[in-house]
Amino acid sequence: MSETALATSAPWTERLHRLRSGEAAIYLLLAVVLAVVLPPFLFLIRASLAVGSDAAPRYGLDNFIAVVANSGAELWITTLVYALGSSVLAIALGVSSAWLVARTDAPFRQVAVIAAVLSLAVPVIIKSIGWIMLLGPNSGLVNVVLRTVVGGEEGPLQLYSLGGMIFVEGMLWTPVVFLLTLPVLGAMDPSLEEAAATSGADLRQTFQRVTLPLMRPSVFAVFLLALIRALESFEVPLLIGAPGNLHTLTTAIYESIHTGFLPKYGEASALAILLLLIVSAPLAFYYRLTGQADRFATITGKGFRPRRLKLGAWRRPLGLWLLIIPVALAAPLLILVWASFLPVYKPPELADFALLSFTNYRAVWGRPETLAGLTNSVLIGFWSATAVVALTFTAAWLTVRYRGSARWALDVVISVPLVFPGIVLGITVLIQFLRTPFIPIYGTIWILVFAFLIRFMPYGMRFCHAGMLAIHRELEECGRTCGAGALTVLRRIVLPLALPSVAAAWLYVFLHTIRDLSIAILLAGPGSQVIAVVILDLWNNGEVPELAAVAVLMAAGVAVLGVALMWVSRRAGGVAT
Amino acid sequence: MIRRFLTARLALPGALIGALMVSDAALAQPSGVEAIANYTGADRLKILEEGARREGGLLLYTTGTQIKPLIDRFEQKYPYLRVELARASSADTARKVLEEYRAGYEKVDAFELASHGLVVPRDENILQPFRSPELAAFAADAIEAGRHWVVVRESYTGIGFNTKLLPPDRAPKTYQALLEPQWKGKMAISGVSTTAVNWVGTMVIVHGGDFVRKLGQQNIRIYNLTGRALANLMTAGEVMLSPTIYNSHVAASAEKGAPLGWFAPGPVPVTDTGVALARKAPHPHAALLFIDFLMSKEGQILYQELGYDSPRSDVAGAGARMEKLYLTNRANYIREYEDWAKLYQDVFLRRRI
Repeated sequence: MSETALATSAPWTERLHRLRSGEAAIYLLLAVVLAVVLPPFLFLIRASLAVGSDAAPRYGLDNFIAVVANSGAELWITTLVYALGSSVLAIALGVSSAWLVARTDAPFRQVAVIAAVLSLAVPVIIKSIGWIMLLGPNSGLVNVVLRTVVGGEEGPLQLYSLGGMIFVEGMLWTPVVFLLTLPVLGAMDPSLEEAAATSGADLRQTFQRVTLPLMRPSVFAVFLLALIRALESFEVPLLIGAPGNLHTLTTAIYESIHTGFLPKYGEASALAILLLLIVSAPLAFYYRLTGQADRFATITGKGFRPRRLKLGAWRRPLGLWLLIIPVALAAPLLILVWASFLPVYKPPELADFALLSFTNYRAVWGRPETLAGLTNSVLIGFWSATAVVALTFTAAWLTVRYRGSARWALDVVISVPLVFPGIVLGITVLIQFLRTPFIPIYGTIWILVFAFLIRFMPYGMRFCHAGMLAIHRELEECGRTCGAGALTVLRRIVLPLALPSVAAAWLYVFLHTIRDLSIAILLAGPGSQVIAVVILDLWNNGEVPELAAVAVLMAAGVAVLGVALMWVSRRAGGVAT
Repeated sequence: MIRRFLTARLALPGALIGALMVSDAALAQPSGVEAIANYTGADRLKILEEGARREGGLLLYTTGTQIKPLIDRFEQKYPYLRVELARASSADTARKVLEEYRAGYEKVDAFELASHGLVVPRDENILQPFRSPELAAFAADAIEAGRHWVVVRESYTGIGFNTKLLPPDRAPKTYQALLEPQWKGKMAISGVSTTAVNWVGTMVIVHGGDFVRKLGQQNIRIYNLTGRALANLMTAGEVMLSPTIYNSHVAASAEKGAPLGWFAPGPVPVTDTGVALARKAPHPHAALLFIDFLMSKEGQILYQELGYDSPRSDVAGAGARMEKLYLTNRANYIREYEDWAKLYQDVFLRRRI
């Protein structure tokens, strides 16, 4: 495919000129992103080095030494095994499902897509509770049923183990992986697979030797995100690791922040910086792998009509494989739906039907802050998602299209916020705007939008980057040849082609801002209370049934958004073909 | 200038202030947060109401919506006042207000926070000591020594258990009994740091550090859930036995048919929430009216209906029969808390016993 790129290459003078303007754009964007990311990053570094009292700190490596001394090898091993295990599981399940949906005639394709979008809606903290209800060693439904067969007092499935953490986190991330890879696979030229089939390759050979290598950069990008996300994931280690006495870097950060009178940042920041170092290794590797963007472009100027691979005898069994995502969503959600109608949560029994009522739903809706919080949250979510996508779409395009070390720097700087512990980011932004009263956004929704822009730009970047890698340079060059300027090309060619990824990024950020607790709670002023406060209230009150009602309502709301997303993707898919 | 002069004069010791206020007609209208907070004249209520009418409302920093019914009743009583809320955990709120005061952003009027979240704001000079006619009805323990806050609601942790899995006659009735081999691997505690650390602190004070280390050998499961969420897991049968269960949650859930039992052997740690006034409150009159209301018998009964206990002597509750430990009142609480936190981490999180 790179031959086609060479064949259509423009005269070198024009190329040089374009390279320069591209590089100028990268530097400009880099400056903007640095201005946003640098203050919290410097705060993180300062906090990691500060020792002693808040008012008169001295500086040294004490926090790092304390962290290393306290953590022990076990913490690091647990963290790495958990992160690798869960991201590999999510990739295996998510990518294979995406391939089946995008390229084959397997049944249940729509079901898988709908379930994946829906699963974004349910807060992780709620899903984790669902899994505890299902797999808890004592009263977990699955274990109760299994015990009637195998006997015993506890188990047999041990949720509070490394395996349990990997399973739950893997299940939580499978839908995201699925949604990230689906657009890329959907836009892939099928002629190569068809050629393989014509040459006598069977299904497995085609997948292994043609499909897999073609999508490797995109899949690796997604794997990287899953890995980083697992490294910094927090809820599963906190809720499922801790009861089994398993601790990860993030729970260590949580512990060091929360054991004291005030949130403490020293050790937490030192841990975050160590996490940043760990994360930068796969990022550097990723860059070496994707250095030649053209090699991996799958959306080219060649006309093609996607034809679905006929699975034949494999259709049914592979269709069942596609049910993994719906089941992984449905299993914890169903038990939550059940709980949402109960006055007090208990494992299901037939006699409980008499107890079911809408009381919890009425209670949630009756909260005065639900409506005001919802309006604020939707506004904040909308602007945060739009800002993140606008920034990362441009950045992804520039880093894929132009050479030079600045593009690596741009991506690294955008990825840095991945490791900011939410509370550390929250407090920096808070201090920052308290000290700059000439930017009067403290206490308004805009301070939240700003914080969320920083928090979610790494995710937007990975979504957009994966989508952008798939678009061949020649399509843009066509536009250029026809006299279009860079912005026109971006707007009329790149954006429509990358729309599925961009839409997925937007939805991801939107949904995550709505339910983010750590930042929203700290920064929300009296006039900008958010819906997350309701979740926090219910969480603190620990009322599982009412919490379950919130989860069900959120899932219903997102179902509507999900349908909209699929409509957009399909339209965009139409453009791509 | 005059204001500063008045404030300086009013900063004189307690008794003298009262005398000055009454005798000097020019000083009858207290101004400045400190003066208003300490005014005890007969026309106090009138002055507060008049001032509050000008202020129109107040901003309250608090942890949750529990107090919504109280706010509703307050706004009914004073229809010209609106209470705005900003909510976060006690520790987060403490950090937030600290940064706000450092930056000169002084918008908050009052706090309703767990008392451990009020300790740092007190030490950083953010809280204004106050007087209220309601103070007389409160137990001495419930009033912070410098009158920086008054405890308006409290609950107590004790040994909770699922009565289906563990009939009350078989349940352990003392903390010492928790060391029996039969409970090894059967217990859980809430890992929310203040609940866990204050519980460890109580065990250290009452039973000694060795007892805590022995408990550590019982393989206690840490759930990073609030005491209430843990009570819910207990209702569901996932957790059989826990020494960090709140009486209020057990009472509320048992009413709805949850199979929960509860014992409180020995002194119980009090999880107390205090009400406090901000030193630079922009709406001190309204804030004091609100504080009065939360402390009033009417307010305390509303709290009680929500499941909390009251430290007011004329509002009887479960707490009246218990030996209570107000940990925040201890002279070296902050230092002790750090020690307990370290012990908790070593024994229960890192299992270094």
